[in-house]
Amino acid sequence: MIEIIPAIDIIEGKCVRLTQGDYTKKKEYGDPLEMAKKFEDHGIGRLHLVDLDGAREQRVVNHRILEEIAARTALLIDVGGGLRSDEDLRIVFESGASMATGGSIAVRDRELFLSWLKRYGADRIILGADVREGLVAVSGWHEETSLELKAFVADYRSEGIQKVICTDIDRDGMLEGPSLGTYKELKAGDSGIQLIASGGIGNMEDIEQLEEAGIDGAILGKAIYEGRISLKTLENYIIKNI
Amino acid sequence: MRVAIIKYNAGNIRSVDHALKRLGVQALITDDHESILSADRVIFPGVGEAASTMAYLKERELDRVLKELTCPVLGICLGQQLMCSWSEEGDTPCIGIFDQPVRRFPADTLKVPHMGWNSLERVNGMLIPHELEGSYVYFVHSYYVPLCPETAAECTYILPFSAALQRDNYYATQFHPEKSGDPGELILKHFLKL
Repeated sequence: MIEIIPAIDIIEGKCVRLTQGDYTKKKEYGDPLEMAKKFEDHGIGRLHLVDLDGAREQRVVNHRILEEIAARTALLIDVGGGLRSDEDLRIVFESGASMATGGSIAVRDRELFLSWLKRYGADRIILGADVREGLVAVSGWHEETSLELKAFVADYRSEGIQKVICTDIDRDGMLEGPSLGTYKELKAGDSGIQLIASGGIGNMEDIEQLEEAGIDGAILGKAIYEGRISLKTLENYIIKNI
Repeated sequence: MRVAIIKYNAGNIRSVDHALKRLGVQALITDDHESILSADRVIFPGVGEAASTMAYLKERELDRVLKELTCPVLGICLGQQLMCSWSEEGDTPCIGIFDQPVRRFPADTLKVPHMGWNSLERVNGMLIPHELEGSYVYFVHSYYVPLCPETAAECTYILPFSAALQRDNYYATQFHPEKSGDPGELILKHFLKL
């Protein structure tokens, strides 16, 4: 039931993983298109594409890669990282994204983010809530705010947001388990939310725990790239749990 | 409207229930003959193996009930296959609503199961809105129904096969509408309006 969503994070055209959002702790894993095709071959239906150059430059940068993956696979792609303007959004949707995730912009410019929600609809606009110790962080996670996660999410839920990707920054790239308590709490207060967990997932038990908690999706990064969870294992999981 | 989802020893039942909930429909998951026969719509989902699921259905006479239905019925994936006359999987006689065999994909350079998004071609019949011609929907299967007079949409993987079937009040899809994003949602909505 829980949707398996592999992540492809991009820096300078390459597929990379960072640890806890730190650009100096970067590891490269080759060509994003080849990686996307490999995911597709194992029955994966959806991809979380993060434009890390975009996150740093605060505008969409790697849309050519998005375009290539969208043209040469049938994956549903949600894109995040650096989306700050109407122009950025137009570019990612024209390049083949099915969904766009706004994180920093949702903190900094509520009005603009809500105008996207109105224009593209709750199926296509995802709220990205990146959190560190209960507080929302922005700008590729280099700044923290004083916003509490729950209040931040509840506000946008009341405005019509349905899909929320919640990333626990301290767990990201650590493979030590997701922030289960945070997700359970969000879901407990709001059962209609479509909640996607991100950060820390290191093995299949983590996925099963999230599934049991009724979480709607799980973003997997390093666990796949470092071979902790094989694509074959994910394929079998998808067959059993479709 | 009363929507019944057939409860039996196959997977995927919860996924279908969830998809209906997203459409605001509270379905009844049941193996009770009366509840199924009095429903306005019946959905027969399923992921699993043909022989053991057929044995289970026969034991509870759900195969007979399915054949007696007069309301619109939607079989999904294994549900579609079990609505055919016979499956190569375990050499299993099936319910026989569609007088067609179910075959295993031949060995090929493409792998089996066929898993992932693929496009609908030659959409016809009443279940799938015609504007979905060429749309991508999500498949997971190793067995297929060949093209036949009841084919209501085609798909090609290794060979052309039936992506959907229709005969009288019986509709079926090999793909998973409940996992097929917007096109899938449109098909489910359409089914509820038939």
